[in-house]
Amino acid sequence: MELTVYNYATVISVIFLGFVLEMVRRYSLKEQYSILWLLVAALMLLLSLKHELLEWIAQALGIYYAPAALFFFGLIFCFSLILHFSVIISKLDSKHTRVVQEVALLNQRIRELEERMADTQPNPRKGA
Amino acid sequence: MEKKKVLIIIPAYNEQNSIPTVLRKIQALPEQYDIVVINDGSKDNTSLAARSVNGVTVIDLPHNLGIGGAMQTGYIFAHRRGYDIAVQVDADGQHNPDDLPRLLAPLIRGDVNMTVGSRYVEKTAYRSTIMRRLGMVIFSLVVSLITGQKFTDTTSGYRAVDREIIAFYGRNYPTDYPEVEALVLLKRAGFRIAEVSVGMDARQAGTSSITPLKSIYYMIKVLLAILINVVRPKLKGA
Repeated sequence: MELTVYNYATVISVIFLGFVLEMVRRYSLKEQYSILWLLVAALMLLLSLKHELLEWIAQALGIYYAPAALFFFGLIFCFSLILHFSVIISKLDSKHTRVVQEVALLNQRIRELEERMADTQPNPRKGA
Repeated sequence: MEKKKVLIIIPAYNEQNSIPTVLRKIQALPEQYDIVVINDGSKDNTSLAARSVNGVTVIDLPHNLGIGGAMQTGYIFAHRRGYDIAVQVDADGQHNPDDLPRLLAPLIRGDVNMTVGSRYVEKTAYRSTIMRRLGMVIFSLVVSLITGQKFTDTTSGYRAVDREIIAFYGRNYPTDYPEVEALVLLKRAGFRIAEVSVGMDARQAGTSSITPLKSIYYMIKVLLAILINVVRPKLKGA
């Protein structure tokens, strides 16, 4: 087998697919987030195996060197994914703020209750 | 008329030196108010310093949230405890407690939903740097244009709000540099706001959180936030 860019792209795609599945199996990656990556891996595999497809797309887009089309799509994908992560981080940030606030408010209530208990029961620790 | 329950909210980050004085000054007023200090994950002994003053409630945030998150904690507390009015006062001593009755009066009468202590409604002794003045002029111009109401001191953190805004703030409160943005949010939600003239002192201790680099970020962030607000759907008031 000739060592072309398509051949090792196929190998890398297969390894990548296996790696994603393994991460899901080990609970390192949640199923809902894995779907995206599985789709990417499948697409990479398809384009590596059927490189006529990639060449056809490249030609349609006016890209002379077909593998450059891969980089082009890869870059677009990376940008969208990073943006998607920023959105998730913003959401987590709001949720985290609310949790911190609740923890602080609950701590204050516990302190208040403990002080009130200490006032009514002289020695609450020994009580049954 | 029934007496209104008033809560004073003091957000504090590394203010161990000034906080006891601020608290005692408020307690020395003829009128007694409930006080809650929100310790925003201070690295110094702000919490202990605040607790050393009797009759003060202290809420410790497990870590630093920034002024927005800290203030909102105070408003959620006020909402859950059923306060009629909440006043925010800075922990650094620049807000004069003697102005409190003036800030509260329009709210007690029910004239407006919020009062903002302004350094510029009348000529007061307050002076600051040129850059700072410039930023403030730009903010007040933009906010006045967007809201259709003249605001002279949009960055002032000395403000009092009624029950409706307390509830509103519990649901939505801007982060980072919230004062300017809050005005736009509230006006767009249909609340009535009035500025009240107050005097402000220079900081008693500690340093301002605003460095030159931060002030550029401050300008950009606040302007972006208020402009984006205009194209967002309006938030429900009460």
